Amino acid sequence: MTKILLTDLQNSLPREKFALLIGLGFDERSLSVLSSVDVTCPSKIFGILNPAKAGMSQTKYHEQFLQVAPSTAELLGEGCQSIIEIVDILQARLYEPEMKGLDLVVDITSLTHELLVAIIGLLASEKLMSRVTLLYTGADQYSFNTSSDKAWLSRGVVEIRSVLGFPGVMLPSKRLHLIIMAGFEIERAVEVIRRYEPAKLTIGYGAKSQSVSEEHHEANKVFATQIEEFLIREDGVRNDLQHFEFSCVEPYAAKNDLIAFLSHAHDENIVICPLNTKLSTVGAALAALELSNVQICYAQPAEYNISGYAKPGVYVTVVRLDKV
Amino acid sequence: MSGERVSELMVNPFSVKTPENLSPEELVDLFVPYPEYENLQVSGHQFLHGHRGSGKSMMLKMMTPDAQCLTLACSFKDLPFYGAYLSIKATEVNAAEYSRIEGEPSGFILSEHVLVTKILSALFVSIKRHSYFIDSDIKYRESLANFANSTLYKRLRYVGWEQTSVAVIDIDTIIDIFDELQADTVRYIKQRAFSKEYCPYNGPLLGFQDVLLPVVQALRSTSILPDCPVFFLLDDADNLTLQQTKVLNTWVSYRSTDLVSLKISTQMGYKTYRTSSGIKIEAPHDYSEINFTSVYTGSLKENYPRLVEQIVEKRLNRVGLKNIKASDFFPADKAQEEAIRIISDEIKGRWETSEVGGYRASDDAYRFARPEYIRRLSGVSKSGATYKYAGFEQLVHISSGIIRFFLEPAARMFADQQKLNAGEAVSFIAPSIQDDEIRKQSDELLIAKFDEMRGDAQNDPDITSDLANVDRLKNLIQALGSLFQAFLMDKDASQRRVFSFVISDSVPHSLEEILNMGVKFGYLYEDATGRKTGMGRTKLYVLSRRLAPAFKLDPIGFSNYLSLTSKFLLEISERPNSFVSRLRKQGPDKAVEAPAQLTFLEDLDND
Repeated sequence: MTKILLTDLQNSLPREKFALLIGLGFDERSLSVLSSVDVTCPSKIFGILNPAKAGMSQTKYHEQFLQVAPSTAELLGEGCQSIIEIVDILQARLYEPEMKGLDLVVDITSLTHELLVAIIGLLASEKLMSRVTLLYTGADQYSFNTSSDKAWLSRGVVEIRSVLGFPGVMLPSKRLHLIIMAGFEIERAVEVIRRYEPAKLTIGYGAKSQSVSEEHHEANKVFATQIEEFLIREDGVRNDLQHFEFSCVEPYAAKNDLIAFLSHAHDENIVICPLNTKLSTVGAALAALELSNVQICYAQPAEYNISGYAKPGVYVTVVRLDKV
Repeated sequence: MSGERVSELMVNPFSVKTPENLSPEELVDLFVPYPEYENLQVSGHQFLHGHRGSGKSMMLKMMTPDAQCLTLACSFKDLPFYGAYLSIKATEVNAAEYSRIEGEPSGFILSEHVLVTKILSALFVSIKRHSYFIDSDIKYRESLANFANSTLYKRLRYVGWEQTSVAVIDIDTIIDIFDELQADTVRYIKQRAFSKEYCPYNGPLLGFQDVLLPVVQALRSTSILPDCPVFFLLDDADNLTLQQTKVLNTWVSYRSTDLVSLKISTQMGYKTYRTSSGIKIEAPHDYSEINFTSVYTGSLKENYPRLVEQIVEKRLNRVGLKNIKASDFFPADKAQEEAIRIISDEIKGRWETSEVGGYRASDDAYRFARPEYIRRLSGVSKSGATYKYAGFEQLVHISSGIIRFFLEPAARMFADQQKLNAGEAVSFIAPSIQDDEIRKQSDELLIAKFDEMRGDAQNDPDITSDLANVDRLKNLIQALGSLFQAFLMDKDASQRRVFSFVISDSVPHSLEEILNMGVKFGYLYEDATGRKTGMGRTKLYVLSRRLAPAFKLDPIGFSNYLSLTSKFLLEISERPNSFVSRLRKQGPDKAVEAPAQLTFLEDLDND
């Protein structure tokens, strides 16, 4: 894994024979990668859309994508309402002759956590991981349309579901152990805990040396504590509470943190809810690929801060999945 | 953030722990029986409908063997029925992979297999808790071996189970077999996540008639289970997929209740009553229904305050706050009650001197005094915010018949009081703390909950038409709240305590959809009321009293209702602002007359 300037990204990409898949959402970072590379290098460019929501367009960058990308570029997932539809379309494209033998470079920055995990599941199931590179553009600022004390990225939870390809094995004979990889949104975490009503709960947060910054680590710890305090205030004491630390910046490290923590969990139905960075979510997906009994769940927000989600930073993280 | 620091905190007596995580002793200790509980304990398929937090899970869990043995002080073998509980969690059965399988011809068979496996697994896990007598008595060990060899393994082999010999026969081995069956199914489902093409499922396929019923019968006849009816207690069945729901309905349509009864709880969102073959199951022919959606529609109309009182006092007692009355623990604001009493005396005085007043009970005067007090406060401060929604009686009414709506805010109030007391024991909740929490809850219902519903509608391709209805419902609730408030604030209005309405003409489908959504999400409650004309009964819609603070309404007691036309309701659901401005200019009576009609204002029969 390397973290480099976006301006140097071209040097980290294959020279040829690769397809570039760009997640397109409402986040300004949707086009950061595309605008930083020589678009004539990839053999094929796809824009991948997140599932449609009624009354809201799938991306704000549809036209810009088509302007920047060559005329052979395509959008995948237009009008799709579910992850399964998008994954089916993507899978069908992967089988096409023009894709044969190509490496895959996937910009995960603006994919939802759910689509990101499902795509990793698809790539693993197609045994393509050794040819995959993930790109993630960091943010310069989140919630740039609010003051810092009113910062928000998403609100509410409309549905909680297991992610396609990661249903886990839930047995009535075992108790439920929910692992929250806490981020900066208390409401989402609390709602997941309420809906699962786990017999055992673990709240994880970014390790000091493995967070985006020391401030992030401190803030993350505060949020994790607030989740706990909220639960105590609402539901009383929980003696079943555990904590663990994970990497927010390095997927393989996050995966190893989870696997090490879960090595002590026996006879449990395990559900992981990744609510931190996309890179740690990749770690959760990689861990669940190894521990097939583990479920990954997704808490779908009711509302996103569409007009001020994040301002693009200047760094991009490059993760090759060939170690999987 | 250490575990020790957490466990040093004092227990919150009102914490709403999920019944699944309560010990049998805690469960029995905290349980206060609803009248419906009696009906649930008889054989027969039953649906138990209630909003989240209305006490359904608690009732079902109380029917499990542990709780029954404690309550009845009986042994396992003397149980009057055997209740095997299975909570249907959304995240277990609604995996995206199922949507692929449900569209295929074998979908129904696989859905039935998934359900049977889960239910039988839950049954054997439940038996395990009581299996000490099996382990300690050779007679029962032989019975178990006999059951396994002559029924279970045989039946499983009939449906494709390929294991030919099982070395040890104990309950754990049987649980492992069901775990393995489930794991096989999940493996297949997972395999289909990224495989659009149909590929056959090669594992065993368990069915209700060919495996579940014979297994239960054999468990009873071999004395592994007591010789009594078996109830499968399926909690939150709304979470089943559409196909699984149809499978379950098919079972309900079978006449198997001498052996097995299904007690199915829903949170008002059960997907369908059609079976796998499209036939509709109907009450009372196929099943009976218990609704305890609210104080207005359940059996608790009169008894709900007493039930809440018992629950509160039991919970206080458990944390050592003995002999404290609920009304003392949640005191009303003394100054406010005194001011209301003075107004009540005024009203009583006016009635006594009035020539047309006739006899009115003094209780009535007190009830009329509260809205008048709210009106006068608004007149003085123009905010109405100084009215205190505090006191046990108000809290009970505001909870609208859903016990969780009492306990959840009470838990938060307790935590706030505890913080304020800085180490001193909590012996009562200050009225200002009660009021703060109740107002927060009301705002949440009026604002945040609608955002959540809107998001829900946006994300579900099947209910995109609901998106506009969410806004219409929000408008309708705002307009109705403003209307009820206007009646309360109008000192010349003939009736001032209005909280509900009937529809005076036929209800078009578009309005019905909005109203049903209001009922489903707890903004409105349905009841039936008789007309004063004596011409049958009609549906009454009651605004949730949790919204009382948002509209400065008096939450106490049953009140009057309006008779409104469909046209009027549709109009306010589309254009609430023009209605509210009309309301301000013309007052409530005239505002509802034109362009729509307020047909007449009636007294509620059950006032």
